[in-house]
Amino acid sequence: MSLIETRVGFGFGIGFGLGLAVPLVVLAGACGGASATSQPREAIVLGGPPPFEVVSRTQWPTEGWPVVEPEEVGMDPAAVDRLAAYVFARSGDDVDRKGQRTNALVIVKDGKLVFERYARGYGPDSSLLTWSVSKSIAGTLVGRAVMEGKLDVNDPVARHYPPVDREGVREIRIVDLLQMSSGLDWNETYETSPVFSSVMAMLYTRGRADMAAFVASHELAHPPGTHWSYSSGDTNLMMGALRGAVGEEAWPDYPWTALFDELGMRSAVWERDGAGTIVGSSYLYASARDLAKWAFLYLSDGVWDGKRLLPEGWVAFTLTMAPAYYDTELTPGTLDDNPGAQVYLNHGDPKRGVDKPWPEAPDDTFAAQGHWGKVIFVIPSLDMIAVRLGDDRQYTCNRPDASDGCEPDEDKAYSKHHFLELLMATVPR
Amino acid sequence: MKLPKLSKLPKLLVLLGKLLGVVLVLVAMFVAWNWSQLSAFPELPSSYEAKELCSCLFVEGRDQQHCEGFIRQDVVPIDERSYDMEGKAVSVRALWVETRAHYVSPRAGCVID
Repeated sequence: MSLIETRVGFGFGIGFGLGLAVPLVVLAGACGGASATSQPREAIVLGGPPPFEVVSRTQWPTEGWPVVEPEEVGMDPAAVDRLAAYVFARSGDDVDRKGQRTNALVIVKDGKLVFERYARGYGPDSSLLTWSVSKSIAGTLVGRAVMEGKLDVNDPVARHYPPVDREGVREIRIVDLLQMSSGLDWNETYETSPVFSSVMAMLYTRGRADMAAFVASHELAHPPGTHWSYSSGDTNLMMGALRGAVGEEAWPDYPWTALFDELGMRSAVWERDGAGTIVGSSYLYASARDLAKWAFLYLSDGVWDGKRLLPEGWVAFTLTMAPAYYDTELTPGTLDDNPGAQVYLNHGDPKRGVDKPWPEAPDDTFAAQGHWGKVIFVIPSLDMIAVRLGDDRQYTCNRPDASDGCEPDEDKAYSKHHFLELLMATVPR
Repeated sequence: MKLPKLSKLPKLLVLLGKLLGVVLVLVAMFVAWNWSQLSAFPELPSSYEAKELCSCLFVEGRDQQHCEGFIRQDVVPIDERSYDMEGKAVSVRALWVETRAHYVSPRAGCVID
């Protein structure tokens, strides 16, 4: 130590500091990675019905949703008006970006469109940014590839994406990525810590040329399948594996040939990284009406107009909690998340005294959720879908991870709890 | 009135120098340790804005005023934004880094160059 002090005293601080720190980094890198479990893990066997009653359909919205008045499907029109008044109330302007900033709201009940409204310059045909809602549709693409026999959820990722074929990391399976349990060392923060955010680096700087490769370059923080951690990286590594499984020829149009064309999702735009891999985590753009079609496929257990698009048991698997979640320490930020396979569930964790994240909604509610107030709520027991796309930069204080700038008055900023409360009031029970 | 002993001054300076040195070492270690993140940071504001402006204009089909309100971040000042509306591309310069994003196709939207 005396040597260091003496030398910096003479002004060699930076040079010497670097010289000291670099070997330390190397040392930390060598010791930092968790050793992976080599025990074989239980294989997922797909099968069985979804955890809700599947309604048999006579009409399919491929060419467009049939439109009815709320009363025709037993909804209370006055309650629908109250919901709309809440969702479209603005308390700030576009400069301060405060308050509720809803772009679109679409409600489907019994397979019919009962309400839609748009604001802030968007319309029924607009392709809107969905951020992480994309992940749920990315999960569906994997389901399509499983259906087509191109991939198995138990496959090691390395089988389809060779860059992960290295010590430890090669233990990651497709199911681990679907359930965000890869164990990769990943920092999922956004605006709050832009320098150290793995997501920002992936999307905009070090990872943008090839996002799957960027994710694959991370070391394990936990053995695969043992620790749940919300990760956009896991989704994009999954896209790398999907690309490998699907093959280069089919890849550029795969989301369309496999899914969007079948459902009639004509508004879909899905951006790619510099290597041409679809950015499954963040960059699907679609209309609210088309996003409701994705939900309708799940309500129909993966069958669309007589054709099975998703394997039997895929919807049930998607709506099963990621097992690693139960072994993962809860933090204020993750209390609100009940992860299925690239979707959110409403189960809670009774063993640890954790309530359902959406107590206002039925237990079978599930959702695709994205940053800045984007959501597709699906409520099978009510045969209901609600797509709300917003651009909220300020959240209400009823989130467990609410920060100092949160809005205490839920009338002044979007609250998913209040939204669900008002949505439930539209269906007299 | 007593003046501090002259012989004590250099010792104080040496101590201060040592303290400064320790701080510098810590800062340097922090920089070295996090070099890959820190060195990538300067291109973040320009690439974020270029990509999201491009998508807002050419995928969502919104106008420039709306899109600038959408991408605005109040952390890093932006030096210049330039729009090529015919070629469907946007360039942004911030923190001495210029990044361009361009529209690829109706299905693939925008990508950073």
